[in-house]
Amino acid sequence: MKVVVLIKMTTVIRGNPNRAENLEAILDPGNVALDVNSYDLAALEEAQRLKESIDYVHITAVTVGPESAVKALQIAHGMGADELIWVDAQYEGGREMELAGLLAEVVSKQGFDLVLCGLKSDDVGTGLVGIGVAEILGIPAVTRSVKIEILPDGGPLQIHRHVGKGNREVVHCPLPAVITVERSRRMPRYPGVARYLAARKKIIRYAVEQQPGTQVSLRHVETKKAQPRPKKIFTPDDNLSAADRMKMIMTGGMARKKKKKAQSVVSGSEQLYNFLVKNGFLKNKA
Amino acid sequence: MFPRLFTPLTIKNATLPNRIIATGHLTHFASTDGLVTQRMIDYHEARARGGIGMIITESMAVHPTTAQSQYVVHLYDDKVLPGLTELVSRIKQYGTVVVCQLHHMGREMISVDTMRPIVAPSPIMDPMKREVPHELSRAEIKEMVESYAAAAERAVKAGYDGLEVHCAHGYLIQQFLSPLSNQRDDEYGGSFENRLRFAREVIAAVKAVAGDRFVGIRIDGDEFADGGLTMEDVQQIILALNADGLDYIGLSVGHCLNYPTIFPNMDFPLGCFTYLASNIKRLVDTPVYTSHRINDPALAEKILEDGHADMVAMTRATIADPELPIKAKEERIDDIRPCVACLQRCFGRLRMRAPISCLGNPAVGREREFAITPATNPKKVAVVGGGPGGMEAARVLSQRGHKVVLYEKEQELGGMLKLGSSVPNREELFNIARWQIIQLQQSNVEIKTGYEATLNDLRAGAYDAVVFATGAEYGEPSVVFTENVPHINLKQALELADDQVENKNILVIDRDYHNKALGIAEQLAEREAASVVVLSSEVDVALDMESINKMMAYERLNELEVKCLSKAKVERVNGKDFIVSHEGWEVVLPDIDLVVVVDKPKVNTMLAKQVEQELPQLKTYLVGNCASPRLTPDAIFDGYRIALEV
Repeated sequence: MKVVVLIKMTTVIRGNPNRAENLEAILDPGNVALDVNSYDLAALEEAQRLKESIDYVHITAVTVGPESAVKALQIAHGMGADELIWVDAQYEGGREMELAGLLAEVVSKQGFDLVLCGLKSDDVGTGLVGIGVAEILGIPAVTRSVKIEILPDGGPLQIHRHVGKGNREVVHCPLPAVITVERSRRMPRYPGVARYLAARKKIIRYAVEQQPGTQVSLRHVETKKAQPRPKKIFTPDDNLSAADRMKMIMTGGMARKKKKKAQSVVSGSEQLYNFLVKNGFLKNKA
Repeated sequence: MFPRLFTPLTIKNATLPNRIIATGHLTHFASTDGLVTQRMIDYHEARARGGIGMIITESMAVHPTTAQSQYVVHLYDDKVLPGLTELVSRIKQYGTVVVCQLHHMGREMISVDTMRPIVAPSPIMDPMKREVPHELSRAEIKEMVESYAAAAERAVKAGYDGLEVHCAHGYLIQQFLSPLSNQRDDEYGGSFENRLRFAREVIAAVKAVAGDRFVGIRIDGDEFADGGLTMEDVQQIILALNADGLDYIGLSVGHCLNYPTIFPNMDFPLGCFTYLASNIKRLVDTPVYTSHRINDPALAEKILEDGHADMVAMTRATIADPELPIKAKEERIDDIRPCVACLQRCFGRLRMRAPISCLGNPAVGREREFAITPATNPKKVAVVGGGPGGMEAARVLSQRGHKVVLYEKEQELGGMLKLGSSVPNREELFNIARWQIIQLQQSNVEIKTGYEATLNDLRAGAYDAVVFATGAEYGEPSVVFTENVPHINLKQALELADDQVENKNILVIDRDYHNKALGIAEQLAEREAASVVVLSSEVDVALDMESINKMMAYERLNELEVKCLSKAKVERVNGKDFIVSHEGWEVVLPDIDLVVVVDKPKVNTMLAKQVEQELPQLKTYLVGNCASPRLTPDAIFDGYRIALEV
């Protein structure tokens, strides 16, 4: 089963918003941090649980945004996503349906059985994108789900949705479908470090070519060929003066001292013995 | 053994058979009227035959203002075309890619040969050459750009595969790039963009005439000068130039303010400037080459494996052994004659305005006359003395098919080189003797170590010829200032015990004028002598030493608080106090415990003279120090030359 999870980075206000004099100041880059949308983390967690419950689940994480959005894909990979797609484009609030059109394009290009996304975003929170994608693709959408089960014998999905005041509603839905996920008591798992770090190599990048009107088309951006990653190499500290940098290169980073040269094997071993006694590694028998 | 080193690399339309390259290096093999000579063709052909991947031929003058010495190819004139065409076709027949370096010295030269004012972006004196340059006008800058293009066109006509614009080593283009040497206020100076303009115009002009040939640059990765270009600045420059389209980027280092780094000697760690290439490699997809102090295919392979660069420049290593690539491919690692970065015969001879040679490889620049050919009349030859000269003679004699017996009175081969490499930071020098020993062990030379040859041996052996390489010895000190203080020679100084050195005030008298006085002074200081002073009557201590080795030695001596006094004469001695005059001043050196007199050694020709008297029919030859006391490269050269004569 191919599951596509739509995720994004949201702005999180760090400072105290009451102290800011106007709304623009709250969104000043100094006052905000970027984090993965908490509802999308829930969607990723839901996808992982599906993967664990049945065989043959392939998870693709898709994000749209500038370079900073790549972190969301890294976290998705850390949580267990198999394929990562980054669409290098920027959509501000108010263009949700355009974004939905773009995502629908990506999703249908990718091929899918199930699309999962967060109910809404932490920052703008319109909750339009998921349903928009379903509408454009012409498939059913279920919102506010807290639990997704697959019925045996290839039956439809059984979805538990939140309906408020602690009530749940259980619905059945055929595939393909779009499901938006509510935050629930199922805590999203912590991303694994190794997979988090390995993510950047796996990202497939698309650029958007804007056609007249609302039509968009995607162009695959050639990724770099795998090349040996430069290992760490001794480099002098840039803050030093030119003469000191040169000195560091000459000595390999170590200060040169007057050293006592061992004249023969006997005096060398004597020196070693004296050193060990002096520093308490050996007890002096004499 | 070296899979990455022997992976081909394609640059535009040319394919390098391997990743070993030789950077552009002045050889002084050109004729005095700026033409390519047979000698230069033979030199480069030998390297191409050795299997090198790419040769960047020597820096060729693009404009009459930059013919810095008599022996530079005049690429600004069409007269060079026939010679260049011959050179290129001879290199290409071995599958080697050949690149032309377009080069203008700017202010980093003296006008002794050109007799024209030297030129630079601003009239700021070069601290090394001490000549104030002429500030280029805008019309003259245009002329320079055109001369680069005209030179490039000539190179294309001659058949070169690629062109390299030399932007490194503090030459004209770097003088425009660096705020230290470019203080213009027009559109070629000031801002980053303006300083970059000249380089951009030159590269664009060269690309315009290059056609399907590739165009690369060589540039300094860091200027290592306060206020100059830093590593980040160079990254920005390369990104901007690479955006205009470059086919390869060569990273180098060194200019007038840190001269030794252009030719790092054996004080520098191996591969110490690879990080500069690594910095660029992670930014661009264009192939990058690194250079400086890479003398070993294993190190080169490691650099490629770790992803620091795409090509490895092993220029001096291929001067020392042109067959390095083939030997590495055939896994004959022990047969590779090592470059020990001594600079005595490559850079040292350039400074003397002489054509280059090599300490270990006398055939450099004499490929034709010094080719080792089988002897028409194989003889039985005795070689007396197993120093570098004697070993070289024995090696070449046995290669030519002579039957050779080598006598060495010490237990180990190596001769004076054993002492020479025992002083600090000269250890690498012994690698050349180590290579000779391995070669002798593989050959059918009969080696008799611990055996002092006598007249009877030479008489009984029925030899056709004897080669004497008995070297020279240090006798009594040539000067004794006082009876109160012991005076010893260099050999005795090297054999001092710890308690004879520690906390002693030692005076070193330099009467050898080469590196020996500085070497022994450094060794004594490292062994915790209380103070070491080096005296010379000349304008400089170690006057004849190669300049970069000397500069680096001074640095180390400063760190060890060794004091030097040039133009010094010991006037009188009061007890143990030495009173020295120095340019009219009197300096008192109190309480001296030991005086080391570093003399020129005296030739040891006792056996040779005996043979001359007793066995006049025996043909004798003298090699190295026993002919006249000189340096290691002279001994090796003698050995090679005599072996071809026998």
